[in-house]
Amino acid sequence: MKIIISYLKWSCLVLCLQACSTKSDISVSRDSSKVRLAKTQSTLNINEQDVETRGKDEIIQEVKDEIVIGKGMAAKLLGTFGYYDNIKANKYVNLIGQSLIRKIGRPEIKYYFAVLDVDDVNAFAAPGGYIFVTKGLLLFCLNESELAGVLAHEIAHVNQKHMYKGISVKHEVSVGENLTRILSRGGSDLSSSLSKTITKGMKILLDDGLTHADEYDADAVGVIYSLMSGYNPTSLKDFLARLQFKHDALMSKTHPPFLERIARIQKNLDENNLTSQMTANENNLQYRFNLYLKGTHK
Amino acid sequence: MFFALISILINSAVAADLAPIYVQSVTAKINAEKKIGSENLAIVKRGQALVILEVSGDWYKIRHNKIEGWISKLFVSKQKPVGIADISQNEKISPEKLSRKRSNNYSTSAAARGISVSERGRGNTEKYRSNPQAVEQIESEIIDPGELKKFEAEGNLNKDQ
Repeated sequence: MKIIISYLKWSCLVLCLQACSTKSDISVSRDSSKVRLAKTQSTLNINEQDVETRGKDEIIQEVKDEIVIGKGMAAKLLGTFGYYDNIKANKYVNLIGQSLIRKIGRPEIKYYFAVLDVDDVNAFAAPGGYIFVTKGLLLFCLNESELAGVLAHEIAHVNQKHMYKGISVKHEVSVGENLTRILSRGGSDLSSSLSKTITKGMKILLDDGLTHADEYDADAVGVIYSLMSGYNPTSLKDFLARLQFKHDALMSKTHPPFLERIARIQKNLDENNLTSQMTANENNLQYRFNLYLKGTHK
Repeated sequence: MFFALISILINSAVAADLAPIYVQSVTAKINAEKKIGSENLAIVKRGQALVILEVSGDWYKIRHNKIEGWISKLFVSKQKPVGIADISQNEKISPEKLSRKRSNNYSTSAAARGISVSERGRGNTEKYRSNPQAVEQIESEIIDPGELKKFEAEGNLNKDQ
């Protein structure tokens, strides 16, 4: 019996020490972007293992938290930039988005696609399935496959939970906060920090950007998503190749260098034997691209 | 007793490794090689359980109906898929509701510290403006399934579904 009590004591001590070291690592990560990237990577690995072993109730609670955060961020994006009041343009983006997610969408969430009333070329994904492109991006795209490539990249951010993993309260809880959660019988941590979490997410979307690793991942996954629906898998690369010469492209502020992204996409295409072939009907796509976006002007 | 506990822990770890994976996407291809563009051996549907034979990078080697092939980790998970119905069974999700809850907690704690009502105000300090009505508008714009089907048919999209 003494051995068991001693074993339990040591287990508790080790768990407490681990919890303390996790908290201090995260504090360090805020001071250095390099360390932050490394930490994010290791956190992602822990999350993946975590996800594999959790119960259904916990997953449902997390999805609900994710949707609430995403809704809050979507409201901020729409409040900051404005909703582009053009029924045809919004419907077109929505139709392409819904076609893409029919095969690869997460079954537990709904996806929403809309256009923001801003001339900069940009696109945003908020957790929980809220995806936006700007009016400027619609005007910059040359065809439906390019637009689908950008949307597929944003869907990949949602599906891979890049933003949510970076801002969810779960990864910044201290030992004390953990104790509070246990005492409150384990409900969501979100209610006490929603506003802070949404602001943190907005800062990532508009100022800091996601980690370069997440962006490269979304590029690679987005190419696969485009291909699965029948779009040209090289379209995202073509879009970026043109965008790099647009000097006022704000996307360069929050994303990795264009050349590096293009090189990595090309490598990924080569490794998977993918060329610019597509099963979609190119003529019909071009016809409706012109038709739906006819009334879209600066 | 101690060794019995350790033994239970080790056994559960081994069992976890042997757990099947479940298809999350509506459909997913089983490929002959670890390449998206490689030969398609079969198509599996959402919820299908697959036996893992090997793990290699972003791919699982799996067995399904006597077919052995590779499936991308993008389309599977060790959890059974959770549907929208599971989420909507619970209370309506509302950021405003949670925001109010946060305000109340904040006010309570401010009051406890002796801060007056006027000092507690955080209004007009938000960097990003919010438009929840526009979110509701977007959420209400649901595409008719028939229209989506027609859109896909015109573009020859999602053909193998």
